[in-house]
Amino acid sequence: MAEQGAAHIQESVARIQARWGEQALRPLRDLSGIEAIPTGFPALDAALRIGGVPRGQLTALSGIPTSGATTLTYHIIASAQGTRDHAIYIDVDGRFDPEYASLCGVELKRLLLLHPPDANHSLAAAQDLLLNESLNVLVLDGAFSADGLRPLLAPLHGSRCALLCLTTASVSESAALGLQCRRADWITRENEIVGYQTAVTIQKNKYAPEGGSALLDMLLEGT
Amino acid sequence: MIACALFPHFAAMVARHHDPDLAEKPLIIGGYPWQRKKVYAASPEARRAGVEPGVSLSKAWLLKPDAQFLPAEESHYQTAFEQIIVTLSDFTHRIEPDTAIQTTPACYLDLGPLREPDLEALAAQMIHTLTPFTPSLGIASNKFTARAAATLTETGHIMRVIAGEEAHYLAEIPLSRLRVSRELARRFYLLGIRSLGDLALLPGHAISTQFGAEGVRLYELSHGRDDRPLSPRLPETSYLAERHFEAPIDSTLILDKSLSDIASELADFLAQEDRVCHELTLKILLDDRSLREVSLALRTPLARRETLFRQLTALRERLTLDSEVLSALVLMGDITAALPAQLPLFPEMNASDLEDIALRLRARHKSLAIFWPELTDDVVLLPERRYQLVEAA
Repeated sequence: MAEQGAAHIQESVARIQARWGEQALRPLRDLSGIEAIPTGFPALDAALRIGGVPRGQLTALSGIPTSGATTLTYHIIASAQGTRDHAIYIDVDGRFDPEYASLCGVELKRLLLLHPPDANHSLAAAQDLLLNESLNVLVLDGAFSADGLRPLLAPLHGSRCALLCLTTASVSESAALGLQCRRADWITRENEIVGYQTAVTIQKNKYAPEGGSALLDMLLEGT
Repeated sequence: MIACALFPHFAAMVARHHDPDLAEKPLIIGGYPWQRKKVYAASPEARRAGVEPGVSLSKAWLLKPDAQFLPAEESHYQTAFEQIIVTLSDFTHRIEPDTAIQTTPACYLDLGPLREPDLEALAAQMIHTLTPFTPSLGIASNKFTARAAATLTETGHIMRVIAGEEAHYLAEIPLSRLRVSRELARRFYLLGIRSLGDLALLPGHAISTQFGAEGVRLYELSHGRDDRPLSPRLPETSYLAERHFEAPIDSTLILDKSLSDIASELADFLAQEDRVCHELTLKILLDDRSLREVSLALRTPLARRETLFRQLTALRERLTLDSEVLSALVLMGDITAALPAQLPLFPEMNASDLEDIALRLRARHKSLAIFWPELTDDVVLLPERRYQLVEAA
């Protein structure tokens, strides 16, 4: 009975693909075509199923300050720079910390920092960059709404740029990937705090079943 | 001046160094008489009996039946020669090893513009320091004459050829002792040219026509002219940097500042040599004269200042510093050439592309502030002084 069902599904898929093209319908497990930037944390890459954050898509990272979201973002930038990619960081609130970013492995010479006067200017600059420039990683750090991000999606989907939105608000409805960070525990060495553990919950994932999580070690001297 | 330290009978020297009981015995090295092998090297006593490198071991046994036969241990000879080079590097860093003749290795040393009596004193000290591997030492203005002088003098002795008298000194050397092609040797023989002195007497303009390029080279050598430069061996595989404090310190911040300076020095050295290091050792000398030491084998080789400094501070944190610090020393080990970067298959962005993007953005968004973040100092007290934001042009 099960075999008959599988054969029926295969036949249906073949019929739809013949009519609408091979890309019209494909099994969810066939994810080999998704291009992703590793996060620098193998446990999270495995949980995401596509090996990192996707290019051409929006990834939302949320969490309160000290939750590890910024550290995770820095690690993703460092990972992208490891494959000779460049990054632009749009920092609305002036929170970017070059020293800590460098500790996390970010190559500052290959990072451009933008300080827009407000969130609207930053979205305009981001849209401009996605439309007119060939970028690899673009980080939006500030309070953005899902509506504000929506105009970025069309130019984003046509590019190889991974857009990371670092925010405290929930913007997951526009994102392909929604990651929520929460500090889970301190890491101590000889009674001194040397780092902390961040629990990353995958709130949304277009490429795999949602709800996965990963526990990451964030060491304060860099990992 | 160039010195040539020549180590004749080197294999026998090394064998006797490993086993002092062999000191008085004639040695034949290469295997045992029943083996179908050839003699690799022989001690002077065996050489005097006619045992030459290359003859069969059975024939060597017939020539010197009371000799001690030993297998050749080339790895021992290489290790010993490396030790010799390390010892000689106390005298000069410009050392060119010459192992073209395995059984008689040599080193050329650049002694700079040293003159009497410093030169003699230095040479004597060199021979004394190298004991038990005693060389014969030749000193001259060029490599060929220095080598000839070392060859013609006895082990443990120094022969110095005064500049300008090279041709006179070399005149007696028979051409048969030089590497000369068989055809040229035959022609020299037919013409009655037996020594470098005979060759030097010939008119220079005829040499090229008669004997070709090889003849010209020998003619130049016969006049004591050798323009081959000294090619020092590859740079060291380790590098040492240290900082001494005028007064003992107890501040971690000052120590970190010194480590930051050391990291800069190490990074400059690596950048200059285009190399990376695989090992770091931090040694801290404390006020109570005790030494704290910690080493780290790096999973990925380092060359950048920031990463070197980060590793050094991590090493410092692993040490228990229960007394004030007198000095800090960092030994960078296992330094190798940086691997060449993989050429990209596709066009990639470079820094200038990012600069172009900044320019275009600036043109379109007047109110946008665009910066390059730059680290300035890792260890200053105030965080805001640790980096600066340089406005993009």
